[in-house]
Amino acid sequence: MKLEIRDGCFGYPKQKQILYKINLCAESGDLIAILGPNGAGKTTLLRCMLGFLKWNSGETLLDQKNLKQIPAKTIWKQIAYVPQAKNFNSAFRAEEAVLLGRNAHLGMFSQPKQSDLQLVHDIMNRLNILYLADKSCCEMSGGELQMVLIARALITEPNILVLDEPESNLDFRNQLIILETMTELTRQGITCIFNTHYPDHALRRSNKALLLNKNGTAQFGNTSEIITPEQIQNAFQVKTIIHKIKNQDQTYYSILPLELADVPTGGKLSC
Amino acid sequence: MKKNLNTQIGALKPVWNIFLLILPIFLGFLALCIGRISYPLEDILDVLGAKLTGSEPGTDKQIAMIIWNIRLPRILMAMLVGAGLSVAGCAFQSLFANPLATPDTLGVASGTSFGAALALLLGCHLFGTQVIAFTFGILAVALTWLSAAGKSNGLSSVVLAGIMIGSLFSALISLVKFTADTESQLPAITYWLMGSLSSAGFASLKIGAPCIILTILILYLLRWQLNILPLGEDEAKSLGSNIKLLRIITILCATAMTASSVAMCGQVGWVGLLIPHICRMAFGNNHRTLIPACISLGASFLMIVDTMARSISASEIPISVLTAIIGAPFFIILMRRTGGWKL
Repeated sequence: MKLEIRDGCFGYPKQKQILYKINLCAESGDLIAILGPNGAGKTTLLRCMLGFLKWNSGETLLDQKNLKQIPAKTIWKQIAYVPQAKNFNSAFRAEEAVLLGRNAHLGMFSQPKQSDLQLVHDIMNRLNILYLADKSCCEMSGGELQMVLIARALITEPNILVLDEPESNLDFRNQLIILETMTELTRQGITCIFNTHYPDHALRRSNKALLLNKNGTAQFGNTSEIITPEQIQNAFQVKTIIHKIKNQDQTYYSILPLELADVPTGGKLSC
Repeated sequence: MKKNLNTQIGALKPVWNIFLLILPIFLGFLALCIGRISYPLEDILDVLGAKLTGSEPGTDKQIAMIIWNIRLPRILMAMLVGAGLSVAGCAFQSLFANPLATPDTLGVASGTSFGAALALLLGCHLFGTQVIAFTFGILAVALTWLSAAGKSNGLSSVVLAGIMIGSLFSALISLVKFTADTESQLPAITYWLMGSLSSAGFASLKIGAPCIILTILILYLLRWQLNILPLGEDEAKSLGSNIKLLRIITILCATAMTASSVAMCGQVGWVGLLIPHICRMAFGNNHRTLIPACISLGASFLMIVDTMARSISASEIPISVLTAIIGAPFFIILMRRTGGWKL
C-alpha cells in the first residue's frame, strides 16, 4: 500500500497560501514524521492529505489512484486517522469508543456483531489497555485517551495509520508507550505518519521525515538528511546541535536547542 | 489484567430490556383505570377485548365509550408524544453536542405553534389546524437551515439561526394573540399553547401518529450510527461515516416528530430535555440503549403526567405546568445523586 502527495498546494479562500508544492511518499512499513513550527500548517497538511480539505492543486494518491475517485468506505478501511486527543470530549466508555472504529465495516442500519466485539477485546488486549474498558473517556488521562483513540483506529485493520500530534501533552513514559506502539506497528508492515513537535522523536523513530517551513514549502526525505542543524534553523529559526550519545553499544541522537536565530524576511509563496 | 469479554457493548441487559418494554404497557393499563371516575381492570379488559374482536362489551355502554373513545386515544397520544419528543431531544443533543439542545432548537415548536395559533384565529377545525401547524413547523426548520447554509461555519451557526427563527415565530404568535378576539379566540390560543391532550381522539391520532411512529422507527434503526453524531466532522468522516447524510436524516426525523407532536397537543415543554438527560444519567451515552430508553421512559413519563393532569382536579391542569413541576425536582434529585453527567 502506497500513499503519495504530489505537488499539493493549499490556502484558505482569500488568505495566504499555507502549503506550497508538498511532496510525500509513504510505503509499507515507513514511519514518517511531519515536523514544522507552530502555524506552519502541519494539521492542515494531514487534513488535505486525507481529503478533509481539498487541495487547491496537486493530489493525494492511494496506490496510484486519486483519493477523490475512491469511495469513502473503501478509503477508511485502508487508512485510519487518530485525531488530537484534546479535541475528544464524548463521554463514551473506552470499549464503546473503540467499537465506533468498526463503523467503516458496518452498514447504515446494522448493529455491531459478536465478531466486532471480539475485535475490540483483542485490540485493547494487544495495546495493554484492557483495564480501561469500562472507564469513561472524559475521566481519562491524556495518555490513556490517546491509547484508546489508537485502538479505535487500529480496529479498522488499516494499512496506513495517520496520527495528529499523538505524543503532545504526554509525560515521558506515555510518550515512550505511544512511540513504541508506532514502531511496533511499522514492524508489522503498517505505515505510520505522524505530526510532531519533537525533532528528537523523529530522529529516534522515523525513517523518513517531512519538514515544513514557515513559507509553506517543505523538504521530504530520509530522516538523517532532513533533520540537520541547518534545515532545522531554516524552518524553526533556532540554532541547534545534534548530539551523539553512546550507551551499551547503541548510538542515540539527540537534538539540543541553543539559541534563537534571526528571522528571515519574506512571506509565503503562492501557487 | 484479565477481563471477561463483554459480549454486548452498549446493549442493555435483558432485565432492563424487559423492564423498559413492560413499563409503558403496565402504566397504560393503569392509566385506563384511573380518571375522574375509576374503573376496575376487568371492565377495561372487557371493553378492549370486545372492541378488538368486534363484539358488544358486557359493561355499560357509557363506560365503554369513555374507555374506548376518550381514554384510550388520549393515552396512546401521550405515549407517542412523550416518546417522540424524548427521542427528538436526545437526537438534537447528540447532533449539536450540546446538553442544552431541545426539540425546539431549530425553531420547529415555535413555527408549529404559530401555525396552530394562526389556524385557530382563522377558525379552522381540528384537521385544518393540525395540517397548518405541521406545515409551519417544517417551514420554520427549512428557514433555519437556509439561513445557516452556504457558509461552512458548522453547526453552531445552525443553532444560532434556529434561535433567531424561533424568536421570529414567537413574535408572530404574539401578533396573532394581539389581533385575536379576547372573548373566544385568545383563551383558545393561550390554552392551546400551554399544551393539552384533551382534544385527543382517533381522528387526531390518525393524522399525527403515522409520522411519529415512522420517524421514531428510523432513528431506532439508526441507533448505533447516532453514536457518531457528537464526534467532530473529520473524526466522523475518518470512521467511514456519511456524516452529512446522517445529520440530515436526524434533523428531518426529529423535526417531523416534534412538529406532529406539537400540532396534536400544543407545546409540551420539558419532556425533550428532561427524559434524554435522565436516560443518559441512568444508562450512559450509547444510543443503542439511549434510544430505546428514551422511547420507553418518554412514553411512560408523559402518560403519568397526563393522567395526573386529567384526574387531580375538576378542571384540567395544562400539561406544561405539570411536566415542569414534576420533572424539575426529580431531575435535580437524580442529578445530585448520580453526580451529574457528560454528553
